[in-house]
Amino acid sequence: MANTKKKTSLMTYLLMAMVAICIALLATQTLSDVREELQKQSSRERYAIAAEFEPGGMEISLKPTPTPTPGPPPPTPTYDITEGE
Amino acid sequence: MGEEPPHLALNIPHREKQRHMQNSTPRLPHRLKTRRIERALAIFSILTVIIAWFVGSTIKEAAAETYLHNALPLATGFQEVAPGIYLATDKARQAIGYVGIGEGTGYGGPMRMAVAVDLDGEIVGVAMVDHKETPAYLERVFESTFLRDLLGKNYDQPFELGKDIDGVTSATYTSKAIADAVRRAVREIAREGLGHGVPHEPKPEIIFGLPEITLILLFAVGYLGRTRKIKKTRYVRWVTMLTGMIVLGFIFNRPLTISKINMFLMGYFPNWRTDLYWYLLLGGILFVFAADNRNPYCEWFCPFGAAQECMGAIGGAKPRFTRDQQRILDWVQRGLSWLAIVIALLMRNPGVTSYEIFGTLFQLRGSIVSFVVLGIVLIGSMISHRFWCRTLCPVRPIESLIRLVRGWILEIWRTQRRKQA
Repeated sequence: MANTKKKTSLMTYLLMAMVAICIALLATQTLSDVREELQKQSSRERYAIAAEFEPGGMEISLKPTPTPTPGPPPPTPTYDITEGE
Repeated sequence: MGEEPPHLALNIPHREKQRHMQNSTPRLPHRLKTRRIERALAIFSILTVIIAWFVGSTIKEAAAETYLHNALPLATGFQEVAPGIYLATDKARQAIGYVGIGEGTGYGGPMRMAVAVDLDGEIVGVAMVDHKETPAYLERVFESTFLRDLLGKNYDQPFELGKDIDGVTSATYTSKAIADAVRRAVREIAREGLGHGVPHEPKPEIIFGLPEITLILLFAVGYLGRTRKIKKTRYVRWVTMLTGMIVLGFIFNRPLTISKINMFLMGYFPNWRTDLYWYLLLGGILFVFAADNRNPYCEWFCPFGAAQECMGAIGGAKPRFTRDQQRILDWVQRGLSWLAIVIALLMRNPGVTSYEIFGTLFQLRGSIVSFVVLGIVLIGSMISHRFWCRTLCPVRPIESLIRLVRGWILEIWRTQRRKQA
């Protein structure tokens, strides 16, 4: 009887340890996702991968492009990003 | 949070249940005290969820204008010619194309894409503006050639998965949302910018296929099974469990997850015509709950629950935790679920805190951590009956909360009636 109780108890401890390991692993992974999302939200750098068409060589390349730094919204609906203009 | 009726508690065999309950039946004052604490914490959790919802709703959506250049890097200027449609010009101020913003609905909620077309109406660039997807699923799409395959397409093409576009395996919702957003943007550009007579999009067809039919049948059998209106309940239950695991799990990968619940909480309601499945699933659960205080999903056809029971049948799983141990585990589980919901609401992203490992089992996709946790859970399920459900599943605490609130409302109603009588 005592042996059975001891076995049960050991099994329960083992299961508790398994739960603790799962929580630790899942929490680490989830917090990493949350941190990544927070960084993206703060810098507004979402998945800014753009497919760019290069008319000269008729070549298509897929490459990440830097997200322009967001500024205050322009007063008119015209968005001109030419340097010096 | 509510006390589970004896016949519930995840279908523990009756004899095992009796042995399990022998530890101690709490005295009445203790039970009343526990109930008061549970109710106080339930109010606290509901209030914090409401506060998180309001705080999260103040987060501003990304300004689409910031991403126009990503879709068409050759352009140096953009001029809005219609709502959400921009004429792109080069350094010499010559028009080189248009960029439009289109919206689709992904697994976690709305998604916006910036799409660039040249003056012939062909797609020359796409960039994501905003999304609510689980990061891992989105990565799969971006690692594939899905975006590249969209280049060169025209507004008169259907942009439908399986027709002119290949979806990304195990990221079907995300792929479909991108395709929908791109199609809408391209057609809007063709209509408003290029002046083509493109008709407005018709309402999508109602999707009612194998998953929806299976779900309705499983609900019916599960409900009848719970009310003991069918004989040989044990065998029927195994049939529904295995059907749920194979059809809703391995074939369609549509178990109920915390991110789906978050999505509805945030008000990102998918189109019922294309996502009837989720309305049937959540509506069915709530209906049976309201009518009968029973949850046929978890016990009768939850795909992951079925997988655990299969492992349990192999390993001879039993309920291993005493009542007091299970109570502690319940509170840990509730705390995790509460955190997952509150953080997701604060960040306005339903999938960001989704820690379930369902996709890892049913699609064999996921990080190393997910596979390690899946391994532990499956081994645990061989020893302890429904190991995941009893310790980590974030959906079970929501079920307990609904049961508690329902019981509370009924108690108030009965008290009122007694007073009136």
